[in-house]
Amino acid sequence: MVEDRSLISRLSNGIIYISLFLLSMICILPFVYIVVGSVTPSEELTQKGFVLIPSRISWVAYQYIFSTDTLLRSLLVTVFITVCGTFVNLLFTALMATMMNNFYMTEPPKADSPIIKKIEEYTNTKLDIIWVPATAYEDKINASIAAGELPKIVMIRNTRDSAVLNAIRSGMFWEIGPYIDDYPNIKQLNPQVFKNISVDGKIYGIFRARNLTRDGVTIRKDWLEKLNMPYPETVEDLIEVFRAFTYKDPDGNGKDDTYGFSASGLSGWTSFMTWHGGPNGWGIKDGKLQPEFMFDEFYQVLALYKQMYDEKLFNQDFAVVKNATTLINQGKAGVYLGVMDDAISRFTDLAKSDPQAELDVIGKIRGPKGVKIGATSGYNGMFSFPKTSVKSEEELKRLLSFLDKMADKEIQDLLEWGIEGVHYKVENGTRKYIDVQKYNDEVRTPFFQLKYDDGSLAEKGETPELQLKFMRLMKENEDPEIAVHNPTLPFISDTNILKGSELNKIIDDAKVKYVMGEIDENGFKNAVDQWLKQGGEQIIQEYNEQYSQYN
Amino acid sequence: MKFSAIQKVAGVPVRNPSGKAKRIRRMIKNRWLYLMILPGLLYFLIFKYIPMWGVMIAFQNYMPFLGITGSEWVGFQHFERFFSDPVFWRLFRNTIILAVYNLAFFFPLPIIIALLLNEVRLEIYKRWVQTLLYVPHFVSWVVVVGIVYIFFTTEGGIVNEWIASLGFEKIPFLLSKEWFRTMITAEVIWKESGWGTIIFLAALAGVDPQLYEAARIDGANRWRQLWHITLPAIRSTIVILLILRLGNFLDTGFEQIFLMLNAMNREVGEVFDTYVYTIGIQQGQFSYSTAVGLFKSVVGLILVVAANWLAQKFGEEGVY
Repeated sequence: MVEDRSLISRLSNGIIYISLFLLSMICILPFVYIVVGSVTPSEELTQKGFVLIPSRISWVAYQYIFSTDTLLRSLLVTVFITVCGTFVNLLFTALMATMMNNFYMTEPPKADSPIIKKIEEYTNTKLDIIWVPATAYEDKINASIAAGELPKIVMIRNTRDSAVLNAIRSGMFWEIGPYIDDYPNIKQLNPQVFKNISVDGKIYGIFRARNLTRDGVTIRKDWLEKLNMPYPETVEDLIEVFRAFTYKDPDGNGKDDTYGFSASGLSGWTSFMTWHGGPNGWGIKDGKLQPEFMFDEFYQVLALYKQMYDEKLFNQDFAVVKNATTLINQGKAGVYLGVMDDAISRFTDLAKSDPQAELDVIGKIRGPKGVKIGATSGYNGMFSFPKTSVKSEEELKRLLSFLDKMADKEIQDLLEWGIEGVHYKVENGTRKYIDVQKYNDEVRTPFFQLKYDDGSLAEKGETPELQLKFMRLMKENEDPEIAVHNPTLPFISDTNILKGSELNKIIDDAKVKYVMGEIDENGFKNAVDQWLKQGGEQIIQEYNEQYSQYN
Repeated sequence: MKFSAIQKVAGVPVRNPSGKAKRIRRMIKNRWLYLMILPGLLYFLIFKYIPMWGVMIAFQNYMPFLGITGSEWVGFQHFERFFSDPVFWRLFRNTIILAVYNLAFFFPLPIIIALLLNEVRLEIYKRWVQTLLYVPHFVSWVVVVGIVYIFFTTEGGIVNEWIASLGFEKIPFLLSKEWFRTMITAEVIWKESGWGTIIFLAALAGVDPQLYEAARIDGANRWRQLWHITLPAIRSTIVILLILRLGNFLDTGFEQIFLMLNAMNREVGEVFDTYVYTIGIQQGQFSYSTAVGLFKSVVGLILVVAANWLAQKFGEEGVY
């Protein structure tokens, strides 16, 4: 065989080998980085980013994922489903009280949790709860409605979701309005909030009562003290604090790596709107209901966010971040603009990684129209009963009495305090938490999702100061002078049902783009026009029709 | 005795079977073959054809609780709504552009890499490279986008940190409209090029080495050999794959795009599949999203048939 040995041939040979080598490197290097990253200690990751050769090997990450049996369970589940899913499913659903609910932690609660056991004992019901991650909850609800595979009690998180409203109107859920008076605890719930969740005047679920005014400012108290700054009282004060947190190195590590506040999307939007005297989502202008972008305050706040973005007062990748608590937990941001009760439940990681860190809550910020804050609807989700799985009135009544028992003092105590000896102890006749973080992780954060009462019957004990503080602040903020309501809550606009989320996306995307400098004011005005043309006009009309009916 | 009905075949009288009996005879003779394809046929019937009845909901106002039989019939209402919605053209444009990028930039690469591999004499080297090239294919899109996030985010991503250390401005790969299509195509190339070489390598292996020898004796160098022997040999494979690719033209890969979408790049990123997901699953408008999906499938069908006919016109075999 005559081999071509000319120089060109050798050279092209060489090129071929080299390019193939490069290609295979490109394919494999990302994995190398990731695998190396999984054994790099986390401090090094946050400080230096991904390195090829870490200073030492740390198996912490692997220990963590194998510490729970999630991985093994997932594998087994996959095999199980592939092999015999259908038959087992049929068997199980017939027997128990099944419920679907969502969870916010990294792990759903275990079925053998002592809390669940106590609830089962007290209510004399076997519970089988399907926990779904909070970020995927709406999708799961819609998919389940479409498949007709719902548990006996469904916690519907978004009661005005178009798929949910369609399902309700097509008769999928039991109307429980006529039964409410038969149950002592359910009877005591606020009738105004029942009205807020009603559809065409009928009640289809039991709402989970939540404080009316929960928003506030959660702030790193130790950072304020380090920088010698007073607690902010006005909006301008707050922005100064943001600036200090961003540029004055409050964590003292010599690096410019902290932000004023942590943003997932445009966090704190409603707070800033109401602080500026603007409406909460929708407001009343010239006697009619109008969406917030018809108000001047909206554009003031929009410009403010843009300014804060340009000054880097919050994380620049806010548009892709899903969870605003992460930066706080990592010690990279100083303020959390969300509901104040998160202050004791969603920052346990911060306490673990930095024992010096101290959080505090600020409930009142003064703006041009005084102290204002946005009000919620008074509920967060409702428990509904699908006719596809609750086949008879007797079964419905059985489920209602189960839920009624869930608001009894014993369960309120259980959820408020946990188990004696494990989460709390009694000292000198007063209850006191043994380890607040443990209580939060094992009881409060997961199981408050099952709660619909306001916890007023529970034993009072030695509650952590922070909790007492924000409970007081939330109550104070319910004052009608302070709380700003969304006046469209009791009403339903059919166009909003059909096109609501699509239309909202136009405005939400435009807000983000404006803040990031992609579009200017004209660009935003175009978005508003688009919103109006594609259905917004009708929504305004429909809401106002119902508004004039009741006013 | 009916002598006309009896023929003689090789001197032996044989009864002349009628056409139908002949067919049944043949079926029984090949019964094992038919039995073998039965499970496959059943699979397609049960899981692909019967569910197609579900397509009916595209012409109704489907409510899950009322079922298909109970829901109101609305004819082409959803299609009218779809085509008159300005969103439709945006989706169309995004889908087409992504598909064209994919065809232009991704499609040739497995071929080129296969040709490169084919030139390698050292077997061990070839095998190692192949193994490494196949690895990205097995990773799910969720993991790939996770890796992409770690590498390309502006806050501490490896690539951006490197860019910043060289003194340049950080590039918002994940958040800008301009980079979106490049990122998507690059991800597909990284993930699938290696795996795509398999079928071409198989075709290349089928080339008669005597042709190469003859060419060498005639004085052809490596590049002429490539042009005159190798490429024509894999021409049919390329055409067939092109046809299949065209049939999937509007299939932009839901998972990948869905994971990469955000407020900043939605304008160039939203394609039919993600739109169907958003309004179908997230908003529960089952009928409307089915209508959109149906439209896409019909277009896909037309494309496959057209591409196949075109290929046959050019003298290639076609897929069917």
